[in-house]
Amino acid sequence: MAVGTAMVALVIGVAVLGPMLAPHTPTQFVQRPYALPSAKALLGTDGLGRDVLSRVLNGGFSVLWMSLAATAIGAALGTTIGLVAGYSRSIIDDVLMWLTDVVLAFPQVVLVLLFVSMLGPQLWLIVLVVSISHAPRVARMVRGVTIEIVNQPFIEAAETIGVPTRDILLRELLPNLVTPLMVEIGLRMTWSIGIVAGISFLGFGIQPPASDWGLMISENRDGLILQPFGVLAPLAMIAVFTIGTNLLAEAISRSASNIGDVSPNT
Amino acid sequence: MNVVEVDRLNVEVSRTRARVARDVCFEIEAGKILALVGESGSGKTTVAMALLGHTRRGATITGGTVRLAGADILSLDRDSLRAMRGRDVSYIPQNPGIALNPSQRVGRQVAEVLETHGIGLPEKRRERVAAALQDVALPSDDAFLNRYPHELSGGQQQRLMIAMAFIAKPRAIVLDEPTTGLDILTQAHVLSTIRDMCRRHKVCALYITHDLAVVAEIADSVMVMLKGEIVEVGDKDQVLHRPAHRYTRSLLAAAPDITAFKASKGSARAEPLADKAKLAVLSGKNLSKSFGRLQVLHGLNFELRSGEVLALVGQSGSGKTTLGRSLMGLSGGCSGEIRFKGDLLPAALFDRSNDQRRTLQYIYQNPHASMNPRRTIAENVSSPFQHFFGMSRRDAHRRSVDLLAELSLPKSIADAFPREISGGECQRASIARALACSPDVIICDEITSALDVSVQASIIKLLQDLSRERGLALLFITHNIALVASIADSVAVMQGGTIVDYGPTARVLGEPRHPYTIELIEKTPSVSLSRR
Repeated sequence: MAVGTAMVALVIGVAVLGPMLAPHTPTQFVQRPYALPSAKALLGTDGLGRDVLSRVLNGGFSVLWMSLAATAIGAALGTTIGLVAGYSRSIIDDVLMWLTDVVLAFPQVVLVLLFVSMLGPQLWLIVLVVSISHAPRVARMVRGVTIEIVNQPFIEAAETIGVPTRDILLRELLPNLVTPLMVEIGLRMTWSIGIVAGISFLGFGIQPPASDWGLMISENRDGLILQPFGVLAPLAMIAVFTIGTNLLAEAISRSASNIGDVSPNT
Repeated sequence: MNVVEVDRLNVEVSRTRARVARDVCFEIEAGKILALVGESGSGKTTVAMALLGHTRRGATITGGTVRLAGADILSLDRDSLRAMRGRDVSYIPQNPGIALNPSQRVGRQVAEVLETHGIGLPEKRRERVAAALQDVALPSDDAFLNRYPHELSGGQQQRLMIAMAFIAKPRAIVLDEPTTGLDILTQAHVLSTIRDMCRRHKVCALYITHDLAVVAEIADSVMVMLKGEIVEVGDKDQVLHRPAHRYTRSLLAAAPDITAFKASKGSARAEPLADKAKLAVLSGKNLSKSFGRLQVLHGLNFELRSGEVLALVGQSGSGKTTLGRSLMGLSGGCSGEIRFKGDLLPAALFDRSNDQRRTLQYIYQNPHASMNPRRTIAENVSSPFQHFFGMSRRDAHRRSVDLLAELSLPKSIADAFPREISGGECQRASIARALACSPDVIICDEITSALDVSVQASIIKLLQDLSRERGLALLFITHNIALVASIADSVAVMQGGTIVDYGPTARVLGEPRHPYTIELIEKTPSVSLSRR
């Protein structure tokens, strides 16, 4: 828990406070291109002579908000679909599952590239498409768990004491989904970070000269031998973020599962 | 000769250092059955597991010796213990449905015991499996051996477990409530199989149970356990008929007995009911129900008057739960005419009015499963107040706390989660939830079968009081015909989806007319009618 929290806090801190701490602006010419670390530029410079440290400190926010937003929207959408499908046990279930299958058929990155190439590199579009591509994956999981829980008598008991359907979904079922949902959200967050960073690596995300971790890896990979920190620094940040979210999600789900367990006593 | 000798056995929970077994001493002779009686949490299973050199995770054996045919089990290392289990001492668990591997065929599963211990020649093993199955009166042809556990009935599964336990010819066998999940006729069969096998193979058995009537049926001697200590040991007749310890006496008093109805019930309540003939709150006419092509209910008729307790008795699979659920409108309802307080009741739950839903309530067999595990008891109980009476969350909470107190539950329970409280407390809480609806009729589906005898008695008492005070009508579904004697005004006996016998309790139990009722009553174990 502590390690995960620390890692995530570090990344969020860098992304949010970084721009204030940066010694230079992200676009300022500091030294000759691909200069190795020195007192002037602690992590060296990139291909255009800009300070790598300043660019790393400035480049986190886009990855952070985009992956968070995509995960949140995707998880909310997927949970809703999964709950409705799992609880309805009717044609609604079938239709929703067919729809999710269609989305699932596209690899996530390909789906994003398809839309971005049609509608242009817009950040909200990336967030939206990534979240839509997450939704069926979350929905599948939520539906599976829901079906299992729905068969337990306490849901039936809630029906017989007149609890409206909306409350059954939100107040009877949802709390019992917390554990698997946290794990899933952690996993989806990891994927979001990867896809968002990957898309900007491919040049479809944030446009130069703005700074972005994914973009930096792409910009500086030509100088990898000359000045490895241009690639390694943003890479390390992405790695810390990904691993941190995973550890944190796992810790949260573990403490949540201590509250009560779905497993019947029979 | 004593096969099992246990001397001053102590078991502790490592974390809290609480002793779950305290200076337990006993021995069992070859071919004899020792019954270990006690409530859940008394340490029965802990003691039984020690015979296998095993403790539950988090517990340790802190002292004493366990000898099996002279050898000290507790001094064995892991490998020798593993070799011993299943070969010298075997175990039959409570729920065979869970204990059997669902993806392994029956024959392989039985043969596995022989393979693991390298007993007999590989080519002879099939014969030996067949012989073991014949021993417990199961078919031994290839078709049966190739079945999966879920294709067997509960009784067959348990007999299969018995066959597996006996196949390696162990010296001792430990049985942990092996008949608890079975209905009476199956139980009678399983009990006689166990008794037979122990006598024939000269195997001594430790039989754990909380059901004294079963003890009367099967045991040679009895040992009573309370809070980790043995409070009474002795010959069966002595313990059951001349109990020395106070606790044993209270257990005996709490055990429902089929012969009890003559004393407490009968004609006294039959007459006032006749006056209120027009007050039938719930009645069914020609109720039928099919699952696909399988018809499970065949044109049932019954009537339940306010304040009346109608017991629905039958073996598992007789359709009694299906009837209860159909009346509730669950799983799609049934065909036929259900009248509730004079009005025709729609078949499906979702077609019923709020008022109809509120006044017809259902209590489940497993209290823990029927409560939302992620919400506190008070939150679970307050739902009806919010949804049927439109109370605010705070008012509903206050009312449910009051209601829990009325059912003599301790205050701390309100904020506890279901899994933190005992089965009896949880069942009381689910009764509270049903009462929160101010119902006219409550359908109780095997609500005491998961509970200890003394807890069962207190729940029955509670229901009787409620029925008397509030004029509640109860439809009491059970497979335990002994329980019927102590609670019901009238009884309907179900077999194969039809009601075969129906009438006042005194008549049905006292002068049973249908052969099936007679069989049920005869096969019901009873402390006072104990026979060998």
